Amino acid sequence: MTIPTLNSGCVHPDGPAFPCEHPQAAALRRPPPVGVKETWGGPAFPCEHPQAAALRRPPPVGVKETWGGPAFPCEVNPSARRWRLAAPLAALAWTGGVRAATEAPPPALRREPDVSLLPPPGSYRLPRLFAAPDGEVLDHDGRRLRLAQVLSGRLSVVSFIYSYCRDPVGCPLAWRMLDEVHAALLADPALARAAQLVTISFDPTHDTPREMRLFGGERIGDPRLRWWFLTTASVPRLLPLLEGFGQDVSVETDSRGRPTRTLNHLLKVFCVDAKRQVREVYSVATLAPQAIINDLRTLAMQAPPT
Amino acid sequence: MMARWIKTCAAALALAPMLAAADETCNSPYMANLIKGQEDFVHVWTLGVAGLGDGNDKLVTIDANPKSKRYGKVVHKLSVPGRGEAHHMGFTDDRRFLWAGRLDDSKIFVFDLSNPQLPRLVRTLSNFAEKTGFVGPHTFYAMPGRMLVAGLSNTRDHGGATGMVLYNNKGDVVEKIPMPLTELGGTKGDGYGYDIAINPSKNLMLTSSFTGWNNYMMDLGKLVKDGEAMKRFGNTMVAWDLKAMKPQQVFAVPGAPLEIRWSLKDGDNWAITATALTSKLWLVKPDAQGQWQAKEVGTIGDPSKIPLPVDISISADGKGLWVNTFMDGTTRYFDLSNPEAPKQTYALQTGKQVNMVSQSWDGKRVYITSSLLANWDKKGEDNEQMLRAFDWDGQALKLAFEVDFNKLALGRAHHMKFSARPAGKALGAIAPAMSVAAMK
Repeated sequence: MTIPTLNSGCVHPDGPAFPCEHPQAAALRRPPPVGVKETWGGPAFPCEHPQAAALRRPPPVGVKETWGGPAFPCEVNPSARRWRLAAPLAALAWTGGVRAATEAPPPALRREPDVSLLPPPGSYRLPRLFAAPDGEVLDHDGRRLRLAQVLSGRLSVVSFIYSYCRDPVGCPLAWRMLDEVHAALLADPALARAAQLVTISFDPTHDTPREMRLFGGERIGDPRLRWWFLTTASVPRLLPLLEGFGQDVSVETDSRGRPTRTLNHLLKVFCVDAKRQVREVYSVATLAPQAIINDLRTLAMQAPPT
Repeated sequence: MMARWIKTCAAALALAPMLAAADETCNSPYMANLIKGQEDFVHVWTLGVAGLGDGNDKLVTIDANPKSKRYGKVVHKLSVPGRGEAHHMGFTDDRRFLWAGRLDDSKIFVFDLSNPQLPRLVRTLSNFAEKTGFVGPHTFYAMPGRMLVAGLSNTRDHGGATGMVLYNNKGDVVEKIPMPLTELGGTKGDGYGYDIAINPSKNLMLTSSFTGWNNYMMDLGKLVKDGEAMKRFGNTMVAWDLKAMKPQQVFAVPGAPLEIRWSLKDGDNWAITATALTSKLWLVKPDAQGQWQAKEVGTIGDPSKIPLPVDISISADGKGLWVNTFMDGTTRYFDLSNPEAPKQTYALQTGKQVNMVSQSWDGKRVYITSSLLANWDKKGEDNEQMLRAFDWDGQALKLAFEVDFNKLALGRAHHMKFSARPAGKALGAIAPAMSVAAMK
């Protein structure tokens, strides 16, 4: 099972704010039943956390008590707390064989979408789901760019991959689909001029600009259709992009808790408009080149890139 | 005839149910990381009861791994402020966050399950009604990068006309989609909502219909005596063009069609639902011309005895269906080898009142809980509140453990979701902050 780390929102919960002590503080100070952790999901408190007193008392033997309530207004990025140096992913990448990354969905979920049942381009509207994130990226020559700069003014098909991923329903599937999108766009020069493909690495410690140049091959520099092969300068530079797109990824561990070279991630491909709004997210269940082309045509008809 | 039907419904509702989309086989098809082996935890969204424990709604986490020393025990409980008719939950597509809704105050709580034995409340969404005019966020259906939430009611009259709300995963409202009130395919929409079930390969979404706030918050005894109120239950399902989010066809499915389950078997192309008030199974599948149709295919128990089918759970191979009937506290198994003619092959009384039923992906474990709605649950000694876990060998259910929610002062046990300990570590926790070697 994959549980990725994303930054959690820090929102004051509803309910009354209490000046100093939560009304349930007394109740919460009583010892919970053995083996049960009690937490409070109520409002945050301006003076002291209501469980602060309770948490100061020693927990019952065998019971680990922690705060499970809402994020505190001052809470920092939880992933930052957990940040620590470990063996580089690049090193991990060469320590053993590669195996499938994402857990395979049930057979039914791998059914090819029947694209003949999709509505014709322009007959539907794509909602503005969220704004694409910005951040520093490196192109295949190692040049520093802002992702916003890359995405502005064109319709973009954005995907995250890592070059050594071999999960059949992960990066290779995305790669195959993107190659077909590439071919379909080349057959529609007007749309190709308005669109671009953007591929970003999950693993900057292995997928260097040079590696991405090799990965992109002859697609890089094709004047008929722009295809970016991007990486980042470090994992910390990558994480905000992953978080901004809502793209989960975690490093699989072995039975002793040591990281393997497998990156678990949910396959997602993003359709981003010229104003950097994410208008569609494709998953294993919906990823089909024709579906992407339809959406690009719809966006081009409804708000032509300038 | 109508009067008799209403009377029957009233009697049925005398204990009527509200279901839930719960188990591992009933998750959204867009969801990652289905647990195909042993689940480690069962999370129960629990209604608070005044004077019982802290009285608040809460997320209760129970250890469900037989290899654990705490197997069958409550290992964590996370209270949220007040009581708002806690009801259903749904994971986001990456399974990291669990959204849980309340039907009375329309609040949505978002829990972070990165550490599933220690859920954290990270966000409370309080704008469902204010921003959309809908009330009662019921079904939470993960889509890629977003969450589709089905409402049950509206702010205008608290009746059954409602709609769906599309949120992004950050919790922002993206758009609202009203349920149809016009005639589509020869049947008029009633505007009611309840469950959502998507078949991505066919670009098809199905929705079902229940009732509005006025009814689901009313004392059941009062409701069943109110003939006019008893007329205000959903009698339709709707087929939608998923991509366009436009209703295409309304099906007449009388008696409050509730949970909808697509068969997950490769090659299958049908969904099944149960009607609460009429105690029937309905099949939705294309006819010979490829036109989607809904038809009654089976009866659950003896409808004259008002069994009140509530939750259903389909097996991963599409060949079996668990059905809980609230009134008689019975868990039934239907053979779905021929979905056109389901046959009940097993039944066991599993409680004094039973609502939710959830099975593991391998079908070997079945969990049930007890509560429908605060004002609809049975009274007195019959108000049993529990989670029971059973092992299923294909022949009989064998009790594995039970948790008494009354005895533990937890509240009314409603919707369940499974989780497993993560198999990996966050990228940010492992990868070094080093720069790319080739960066010059």
